[in-house]
Amino acid sequence: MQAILNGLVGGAMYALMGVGFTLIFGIMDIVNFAQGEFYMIGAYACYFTITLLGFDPILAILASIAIVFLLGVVTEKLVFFPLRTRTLDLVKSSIIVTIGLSIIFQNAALEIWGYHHLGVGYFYRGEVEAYGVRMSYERLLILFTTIITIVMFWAFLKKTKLGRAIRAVAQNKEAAQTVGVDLDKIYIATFGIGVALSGAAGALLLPINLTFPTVGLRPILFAFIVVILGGLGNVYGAIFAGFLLGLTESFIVIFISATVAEICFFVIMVVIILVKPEGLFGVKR
Amino acid sequence: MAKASLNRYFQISPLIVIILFFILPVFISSQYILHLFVLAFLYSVLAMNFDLAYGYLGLINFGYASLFGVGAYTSALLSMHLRISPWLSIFVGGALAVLICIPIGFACLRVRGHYLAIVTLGLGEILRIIYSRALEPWTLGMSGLWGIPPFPNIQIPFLGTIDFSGVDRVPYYYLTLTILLVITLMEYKLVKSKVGIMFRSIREDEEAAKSLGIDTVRYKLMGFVISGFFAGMMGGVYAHYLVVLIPDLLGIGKTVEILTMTLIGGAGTLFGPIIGAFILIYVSEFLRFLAGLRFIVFGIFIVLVVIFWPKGVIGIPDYLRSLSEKTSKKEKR
Repeated sequence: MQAILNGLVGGAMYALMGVGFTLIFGIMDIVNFAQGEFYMIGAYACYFTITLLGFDPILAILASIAIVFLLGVVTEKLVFFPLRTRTLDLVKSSIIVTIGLSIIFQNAALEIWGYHHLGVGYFYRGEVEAYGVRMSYERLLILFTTIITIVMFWAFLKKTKLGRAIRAVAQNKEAAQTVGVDLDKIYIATFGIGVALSGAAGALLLPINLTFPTVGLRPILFAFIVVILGGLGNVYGAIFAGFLLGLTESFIVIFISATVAEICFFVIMVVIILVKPEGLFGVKR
Repeated sequence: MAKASLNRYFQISPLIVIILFFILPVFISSQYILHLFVLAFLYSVLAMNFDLAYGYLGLINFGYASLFGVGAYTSALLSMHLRISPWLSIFVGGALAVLICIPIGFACLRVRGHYLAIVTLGLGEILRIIYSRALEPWTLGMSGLWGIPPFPNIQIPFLGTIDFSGVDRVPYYYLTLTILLVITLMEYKLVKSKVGIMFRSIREDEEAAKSLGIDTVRYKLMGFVISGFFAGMMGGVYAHYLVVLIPDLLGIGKTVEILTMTLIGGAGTLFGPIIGAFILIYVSEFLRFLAGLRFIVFGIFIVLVVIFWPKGVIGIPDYLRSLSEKTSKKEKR
């Protein structure tokens, strides 16, 4: 039981990372290798709003999400807008550009905040015990907030006008444009939301995972595994694969070791690409 | 008339450059400057060889430095523990890199390009973890492997011995320069051959190439494996030159450095990345006072080059020529 709950918390993070990554890829054709750096910035934003401004944890998480969203919007405007209008092969050049961005963000963080591992210790103290399973309030908070975030995101895609426009663009860009969807606006919103989801993961997990400039590497690697399991561009697949991965990891770490888990996942990723590149739940197109 | 002589000038100039490089050490007494040249030659091979896969086939290999690192550790450990001559063990390092490349390439080259980028980033990280943790008894992990033997001396009849064991950098200057020339020539022949044409057709339009009956996977695997082999082999050369290794060598940082060289010089040209390597090695030395900010500068370079100047430094003469042609046309009018 303990393993399952820990796995769900880990899975929640992987799901958030994977959904953000796969959303940006599905809508914009951008493979965002800097996704992990937005996780890092979300975590730093949460740390500083709590320690410097004295925000309540929930308020701090919301503030961090907003900060990462704004940073995403600025990045889209400054980098991907000119890239989109100039490049011939957006997918390929976006890979190179986002690796460049990730180097910039990582080293900027290193220059500004140094190599220290920063953390807040607790959001809320205390734990509950039920059916022999002990869960700190914190882990419950993380789990529920993530689930709420994902449900809200789902509802946003299904119910709101902007969400419907985003799904329309994912299905057919030209057709969406002819019915009056402003592509540039959609791209800005998508990128902002996509990175804000990883910012949320970074902020939420701050009590468990301390933050430092290269903290984003692990989340991005797991995001890759999630999106390949779930199928690239498949948002729902990513949610499911995220939790699946979290649970599997939790069990392997308990019974074998963390290094083995990482190597296993890498091998699984390669095997999936070999036998079913459209993902576990994908339909061959 | 003027144009013909210009073309001839461009044909002769590589030879002149090569001869200049061969007599250069006569005028340089500083071991430090020579060391920078050796590094520049090493990175020139790495960047050019990266470009074979990236520029000619469009393959993004973020695990490139990890193949380099695997070659470096393999060659170093073989020569330390089994006393295999470094002249041989560098090739074993290259072969091991190929063994890693084949399954990865086999899985990822049949699907669209970004899968390779994703998987190789993971590969680099996994290999870094393996070399720093799982293989710690041999690699000594983060504390670094040292005491790697240098290249053994070469005896040349009548001329004497070439001594690689001392602090003198001149033998390494000629060794790395020769390696650079040989590999450049080989890869230049390759991209000018029929295979090179296949490579470019795949980069330009893979579907079209496939529909013409070209076995695109085979050619991509070929480019990927050749690039991987030389990466591993150069790792060995690097190990026996610097005689000390740390697992960070395998991480994404080194790959990004090599990528920056390739992009600044001009991808898809082979010679551009060589220029890029020289620029970056010397610029980094000048920017040493910036410390970590250097990497921010590299990152900004990458982003700007891809968006605004994809041809790199080697594209500048072409650009100037087209500018002057435009102005001369205007004058005629």
